Amino acid sequence: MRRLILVFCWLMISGCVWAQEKLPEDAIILSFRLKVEIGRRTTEMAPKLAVLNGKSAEVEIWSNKGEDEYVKLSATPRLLEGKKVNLDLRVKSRLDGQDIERKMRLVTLLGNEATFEVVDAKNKEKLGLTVLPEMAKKN
Amino acid sequence: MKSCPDEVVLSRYFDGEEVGEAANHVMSCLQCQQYLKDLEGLDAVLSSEPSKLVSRRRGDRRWVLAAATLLLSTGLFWRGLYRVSPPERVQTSSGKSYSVSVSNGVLLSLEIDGESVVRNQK
Repeated sequence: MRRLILVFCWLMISGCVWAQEKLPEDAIILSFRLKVEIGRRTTEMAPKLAVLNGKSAEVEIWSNKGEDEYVKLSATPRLLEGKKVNLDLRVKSRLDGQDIERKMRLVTLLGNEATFEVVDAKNKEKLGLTVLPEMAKKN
Repeated sequence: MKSCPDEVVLSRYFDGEEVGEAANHVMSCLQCQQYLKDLEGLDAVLSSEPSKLVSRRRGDRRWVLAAATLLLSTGLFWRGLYRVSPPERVQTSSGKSYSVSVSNGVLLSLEIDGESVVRNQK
């Protein structure tokens, strides 16, 4: 009986490790290209993020120079009919002590890139974002 | 044999040993029959109860183990896509370092300012 319990434990744990390493089929892979310009500072990020359909994922990237600079990107993809995907995005960034925050809602097709750009000439802010949504099971 | 045999003889009789004339007495004596019945009951209790108790304790242990395994595996599963990872220090190929944390998703790759990010060796 003890052996049976050990085998059961091993199966459960290895199953969980396997589940962690292998993405679920309904996970959506979002490949971002993000460019933030504030004043004379510019930073570009290209995170590739796997998110479950309807869930919100967030990635935070902090500079370790001690300048209190960061980029936060949160994304909520929702699959719609006809391979459409609705993306709720929020970008928050601080560069040179100046903050920028934008919320976006995009509807695009799976496998198609969508681009969003907003320019605030008065505050010398510019935010450009490109996202390519794909299903994980194709990878 | 008029008087009843002592407990040692009755016990030997109960165990199926040869007890001579006492055997004839026991067969016709109600008092001795009653004593043998008592022995029978005691024997049943001694042979069954301890194993029941032990198996019950073992059964309880199995349930505790199963519950612990279930909790552990559930915890491990939820650490998958539904986790808030602690900030991880990463470096670009040119040596710039950053802290990256991800919640409720999996970061598959990252480029910062055109440079791919490599995870620091711990």
